[in-house]
Amino acid sequence: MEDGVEDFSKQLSNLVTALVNLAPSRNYITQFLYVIKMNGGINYSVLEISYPDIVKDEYYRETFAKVFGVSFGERVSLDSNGYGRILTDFIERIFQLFDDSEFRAKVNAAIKNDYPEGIPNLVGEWLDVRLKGLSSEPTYGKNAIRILKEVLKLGHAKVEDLERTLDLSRGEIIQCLNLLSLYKLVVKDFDGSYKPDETLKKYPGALEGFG
Amino acid sequence: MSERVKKHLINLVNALTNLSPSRNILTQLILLLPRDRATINRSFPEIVSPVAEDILKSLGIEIEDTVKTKADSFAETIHMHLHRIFDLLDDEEVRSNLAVLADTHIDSIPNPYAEWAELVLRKLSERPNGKKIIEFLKMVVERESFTVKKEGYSKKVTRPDWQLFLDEAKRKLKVSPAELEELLRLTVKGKSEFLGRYINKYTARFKTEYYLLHTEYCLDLILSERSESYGLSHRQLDHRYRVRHRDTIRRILKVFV
Repeated sequence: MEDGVEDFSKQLSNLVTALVNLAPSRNYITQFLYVIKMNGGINYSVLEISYPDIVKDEYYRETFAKVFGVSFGERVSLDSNGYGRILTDFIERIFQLFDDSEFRAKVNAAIKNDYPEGIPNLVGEWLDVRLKGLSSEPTYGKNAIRILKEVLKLGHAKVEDLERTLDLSRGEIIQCLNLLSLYKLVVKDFDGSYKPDETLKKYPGALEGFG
Repeated sequence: MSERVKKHLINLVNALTNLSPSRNILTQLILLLPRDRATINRSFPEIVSPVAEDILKSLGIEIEDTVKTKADSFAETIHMHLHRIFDLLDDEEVRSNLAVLADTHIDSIPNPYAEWAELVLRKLSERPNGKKIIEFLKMVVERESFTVKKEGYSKKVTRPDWQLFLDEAKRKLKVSPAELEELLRLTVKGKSEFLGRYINKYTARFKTEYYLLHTEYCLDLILSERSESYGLSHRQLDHRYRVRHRDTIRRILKVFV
């Protein structure tokens, strides 16, 4: 390999690694911020359960809030000009870039020694993390996966449809759908029906092995 | 903080730092665009290959006679984000808070802006007019702000002093108007990036717009702030330049005494 090309590959590899390391599937801090962003704000009680080591200690929570521009209250949100918002917007663009299979293939060819298993699809990784988080939820996780599979199969479904096809109570279905909405795995439509998230429609295979 | 939070916080800071143009030639290239192709080929020989060009195009870099980032491309996004990283990690309070969270000393939190500014100042100081550039920068960072324009105020109100400052710089540094223009282009003035707008929601008669001035080497020293207010029979305009990154630049400039 010529020196110039080798230098380019090294620099490209460093750039790709820095971007990959920002992904919410690989970094606990960006994951915390991205979960707030993707929900447009989130209840404090949810974060207290999922990210206790960031939010429980008041002094650290306030310090974290100052650095990343996070407003902690009953509902937690990202300040419009804070770095948390800026960073999560940037992560969204990283997702778009790494979701492009042509881009990944080109980069992979240039730096295959550094990524022998290929350039990761960060969107797919993030989907997998959310599915794992969902399925490990002790009360509703298992049924939420069943419901998600059904919604994906039908394309969109109302609570009544799910009541008919799955042997679950209405209350249980609603709780599961709330959980699925929190993980942004389903989206509620204007007519009250639920449809699968676009990422899940693109990568339905991600659900294999769950439930 | 838990060991997990500390570890991931440090990983996050490292990832942001590794995007810095002082540490990566691809982000350096992106930060410095647009430039003509001959200059790019001379300054970045690493990217002169079909493979490299193909990947740069995938990132949203257009390679014609001029090399530039395409609108709304990833390259443009990263260009903007580099400025945000500069601001974040050059803020002493942010770095101090990060050090608290990561349970480490503030000096171990990198400062990508300081790294970049040092490289740029070194490069600028090596130019034939390097001493004048350095002296001019010293004069700029002595000040917190400049008033560029004021309209609609009584004569008792402070007069604009930006032009007075430029006249003084011209005299002190013994530079011609053309040379002064070059100093400005290299250090403080350039393409502006709109950062935000504040509108008084009660009257809608007062608004302030903020722009970051990108210079040729992205020193990001000037925040341009334009405030306008309207009354029934008057309009007031206040245009200011606020000097940013002053402490960091002053610290680096000490080396160039």
